[in-house]
Amino acid sequence: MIKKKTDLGFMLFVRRATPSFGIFVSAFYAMYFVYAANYFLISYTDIFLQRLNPDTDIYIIAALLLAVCVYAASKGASAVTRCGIFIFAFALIAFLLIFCGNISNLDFRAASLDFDFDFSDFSGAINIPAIFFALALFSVMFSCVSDKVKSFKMRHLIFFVTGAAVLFSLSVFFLCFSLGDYGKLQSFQMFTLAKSAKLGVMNGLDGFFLAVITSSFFLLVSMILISINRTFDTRAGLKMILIFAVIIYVLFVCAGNSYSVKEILTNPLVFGALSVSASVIIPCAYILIFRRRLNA
Amino acid sequence: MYNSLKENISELKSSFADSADFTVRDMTLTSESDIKAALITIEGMCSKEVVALSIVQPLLSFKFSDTAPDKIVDEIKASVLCTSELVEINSFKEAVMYSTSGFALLAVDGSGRMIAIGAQGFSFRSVSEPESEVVQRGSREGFTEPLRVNMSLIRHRIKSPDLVFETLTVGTSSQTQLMLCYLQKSVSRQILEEVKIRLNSCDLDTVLASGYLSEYLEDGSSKSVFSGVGISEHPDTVCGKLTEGRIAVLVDGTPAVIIIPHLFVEEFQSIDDCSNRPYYAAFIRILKYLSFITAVFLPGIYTAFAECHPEYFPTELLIKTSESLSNTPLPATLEVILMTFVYEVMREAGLRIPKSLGHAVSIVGALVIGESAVSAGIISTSTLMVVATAAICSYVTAALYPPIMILRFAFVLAGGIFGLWGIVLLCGCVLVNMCSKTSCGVPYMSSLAPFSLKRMRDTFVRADWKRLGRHTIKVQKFPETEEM
Repeated sequence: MIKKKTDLGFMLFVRRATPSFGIFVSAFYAMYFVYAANYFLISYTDIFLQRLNPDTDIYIIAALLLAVCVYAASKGASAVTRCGIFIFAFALIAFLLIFCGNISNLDFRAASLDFDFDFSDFSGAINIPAIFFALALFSVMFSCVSDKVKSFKMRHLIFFVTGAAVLFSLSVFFLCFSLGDYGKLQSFQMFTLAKSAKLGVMNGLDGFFLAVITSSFFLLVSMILISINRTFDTRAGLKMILIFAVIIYVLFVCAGNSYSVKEILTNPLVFGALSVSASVIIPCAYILIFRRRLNA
Repeated sequence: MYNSLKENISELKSSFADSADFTVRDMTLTSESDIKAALITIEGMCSKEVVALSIVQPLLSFKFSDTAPDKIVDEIKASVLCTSELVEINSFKEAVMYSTSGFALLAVDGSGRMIAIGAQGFSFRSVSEPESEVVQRGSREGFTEPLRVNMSLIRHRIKSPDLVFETLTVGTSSQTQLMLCYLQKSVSRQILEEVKIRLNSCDLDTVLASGYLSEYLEDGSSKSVFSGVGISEHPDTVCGKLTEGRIAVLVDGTPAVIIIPHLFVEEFQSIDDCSNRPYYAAFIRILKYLSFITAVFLPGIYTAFAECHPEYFPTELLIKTSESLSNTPLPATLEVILMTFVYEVMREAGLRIPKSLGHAVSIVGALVIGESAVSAGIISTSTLMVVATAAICSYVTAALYPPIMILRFAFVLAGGIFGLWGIVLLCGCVLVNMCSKTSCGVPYMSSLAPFSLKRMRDTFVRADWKRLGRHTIKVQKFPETEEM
């Protein structure tokens, strides 16, 4: 909305509208993005430790992932969002294969009408599609607010929301009827679903799932680094991205060595509160306070 | 230039350092006061027949009415010579340039002007089918080395006054002539000006091939293993690109014509697609994309599975692969790298070796590498199969061979060390690099990313000509094209 009315990015508008207070807003957003990066990074490395290989050196994984994300972020939002198109297409194919691979496991004998549906049983199914939906949405939003092009169309948003809803529905369907109660007990349900898929001679498609979540996290962390860069100055470039990547890594290492730090950094309530503040409260406050300037 | 004939000849001789191919044919023009003249040629550059019949004979048989040297020069230009190309030159620099381009220079004693007469007769290869781009149903004509021949091949196909050729010269020593070729109603003026700026910024001493200029024409901010500049030796391919608003750069002395802007999806298009039925063209295009993916990823994925994720192999394949790998001394990663390296050596040798010895190399390659190495247990059969499959697939899109080769090595290393995770991460890096690349401001991955539904008619499939012919999408109109 601000971009449409003023042709300025949100942070640039904040700095111009409130020059002195803008520094605090920038600092808040930087802190939020650093928190978000660690939130997702810790979740991602937990998959390695708990499901793939407990002996994995997660510090090397995180360092390499951050290095690649720094490189991607230095190329700019356009490059990352274009890359997102390929990752999105690959992920669609991967999910299709995982679901097709579980068709042979479907068992409707225990099916019954259940009016006591508990969403927490399927939190693992929601997690990955939600992250994926968020990534797709970010791709759309970034192309909308990019400096060079305004290509946002409502149908993009509708398409991605619909796609995410279909993905979530299929995930829950297969979890219920393919894995059943066993699936509800798993912490990474989609991973288990991928592992149980069978396609011809291939037993288990967890490799595809690993590829999807790795590429999704790569996209997500790259966008977070771009966002941090934009929070301060679009011209700052590689230097700012590198500094914050180092900060994210240091916090990650602290979380790896201290359980209390990890608890804070992976607290969904804290993340939710920060997200609501960053995405709803602060932008709405600026839109309401400066509505006259926007309408002028 | 001097008015004295002797001084002019002496100056030109010293410019060429008394080179053995610098030839002077002295003559006396028939007039009231015999006027000395001289015809200067570079041995081998001019046609002796044209010189004799169209220049010397008319000059010697003509009786000049005026005795003033400048008037004689005017009369020669207007009434005497039988050639179609005449240029008056006033400086030694021009004289050197024209004489080295196959022009004969006529100097008259007493006049500070010379006439450069078109009498080119240097040897050049005739128009033939290019070996690097073989087509089945398209034209078999290919570009040759002389610039004028190449220009005629393009003009012959686009009989429109919109087609424009602009001359440029690069190379401080070689003074190589270039032609910028474009359709003035289709081309983007911004891109055209940018191309001229980049070519004029070339400060090389000698430019002997179009490849020298490729790096000057690429966008400076986008470094990549992929080239943002296209090369073609087919006139019909170049003409097709010109209609989309692209610019062709013809370089004198080389048959490879540069086309810019150049996109990734064009590497999978060929002139045969236009001649074949749409369903077959679509099949071939999809085959090319799959071959590219196989060529780049297969060795890396095989290495990743063999080293880090053997559980991903189907059971029977796992047994066979493990058995063959266990009998060899080297780990799978090193085997793949070694085999790929040996294959590259053989390929390079095959390119340079005389044809008469080519059979011997094939036998050595097949028997020694293929049979003996496997029997001796140095390499495994599964590795050989993977490397051979990837090598064959890489020739389906021959223009992409250099990046395929580099990426293949990179993915093998990533897969061998970090497994599938390493491959995914490297793939992300490569994708970002490709997506950030531009070619004269046009995103290199255009049609795919940014996605264009209209362009999909000519990307993975080739829609029928009735649909494609409705309107041609100009390259400068692609989404997210940057302003230069």
